Amino acid sequence: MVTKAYKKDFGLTMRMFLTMLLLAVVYIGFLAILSQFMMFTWVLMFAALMLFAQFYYSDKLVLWSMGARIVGREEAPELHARVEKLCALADLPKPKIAIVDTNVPNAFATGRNKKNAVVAVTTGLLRTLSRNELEAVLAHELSHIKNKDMLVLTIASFISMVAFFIMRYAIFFGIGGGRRDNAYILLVWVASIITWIVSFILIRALSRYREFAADRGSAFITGRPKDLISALYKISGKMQRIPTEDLRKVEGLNAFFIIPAVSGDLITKLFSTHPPLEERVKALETLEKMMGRI
Amino acid sequence: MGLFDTIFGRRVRTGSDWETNERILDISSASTMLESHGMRPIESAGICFKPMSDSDFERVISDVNESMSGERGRHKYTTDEYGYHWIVVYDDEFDGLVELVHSTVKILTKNGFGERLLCAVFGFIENENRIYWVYSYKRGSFYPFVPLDKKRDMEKEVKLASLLKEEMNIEKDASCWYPIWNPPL
Repeated sequence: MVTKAYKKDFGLTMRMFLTMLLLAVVYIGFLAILSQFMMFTWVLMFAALMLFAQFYYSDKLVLWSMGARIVGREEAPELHARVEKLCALADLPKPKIAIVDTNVPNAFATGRNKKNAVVAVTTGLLRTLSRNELEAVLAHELSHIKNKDMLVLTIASFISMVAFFIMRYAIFFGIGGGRRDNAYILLVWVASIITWIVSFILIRALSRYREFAADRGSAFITGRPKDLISALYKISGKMQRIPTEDLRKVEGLNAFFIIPAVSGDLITKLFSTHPPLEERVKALETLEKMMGRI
Repeated sequence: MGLFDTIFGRRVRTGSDWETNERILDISSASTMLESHGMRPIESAGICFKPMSDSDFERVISDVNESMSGERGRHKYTTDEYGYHWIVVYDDEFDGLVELVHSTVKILTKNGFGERLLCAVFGFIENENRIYWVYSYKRGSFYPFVPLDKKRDMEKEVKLASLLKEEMNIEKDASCWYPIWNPPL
């Protein structure tokens, strides 16, 4: 039933494909330059090892860095029941469930594959959202697992990480070399900087497209895009920023407001891992209309 | 406001900047959209000033009275619990109301009170609940304020802001959406 309603978003698929293609072109160009110099092979191996470890232990690493705690069924029976139901709908094995003790409402999914996946929610999220909204958010996270986003983004970041290492530590490769060697190292260094910057922007774009895809996944699993929309509004952080002190009171304290020096829309757009709230809502509203017709 | 304003530290604005203040007129067209969503405008709007000396406020009153003598709209003056002064204007047509607020502010700016301007407030009603749109003269932008009992309905505010983001210049930085409790509209 769920799969029948699933209609592919051609535009999104195309954008994802183009981003990955561009990324591949940049990486191949960079590797072509890099392959001229034997001494960089170990950087490649080192980066591969690092990234693999990061990926393989992603569940433990992320849980540890976020201060998340795995909770059993007896501790959070309702949350477990909800995830089970959604997993059945999404045709996924049940992931581990973790809770982060913080007021900031948020959720994330991690883990190298379906069998080692973890879905974590914050206590703030559990407090803020209604049952249906919570389900929508959980379904979004399950979609990340189902779409293998962790794997895709890890692979996409590999060469970028190599470029970053060389950019950062290029100076050490130059020690003891002749003038000719130094010139080559400078070339590789410049190539690394360009590769890193371009791939960074492309990876962020890819990450945003995966968010759109997970939003769609959530809508198809729950069948209710509206719940995700209202959940997104609640956790967007925009609401957390809205002040409660009266303007007249604040104006009395500050002689003038200071407009943040960096307000560039484009910059924030290019560098963020998540698409802007409005765009996500718009995509979900379109989906809502489409699902209404079926 | 561009790169050069940032570099040369010219980003702090006051109410005397006319090019930006024309943006207040956008609420006329936005009101059509709000009405189609079941929000009907109320017949008064307020212009709020920072506290000033009695003699200055008397000058404001006489300036406004003089220029408004021929107008069809009514208006009144009041001072709130924060010591801020308000000019409340009335017009049963919303476009007229917006025009009235704008022309009043124009007079005041011309007479050198632009620096004292804080904001203008427009009100709408939806199912007995009030929805306010606050126009900040400093930032040249609008933001919503929806009081709900003693709190604010932030969810509604965020929704309204994204509903109207094409129609008018909505304040992007939500940390500047300071409420104006109990405006005398």
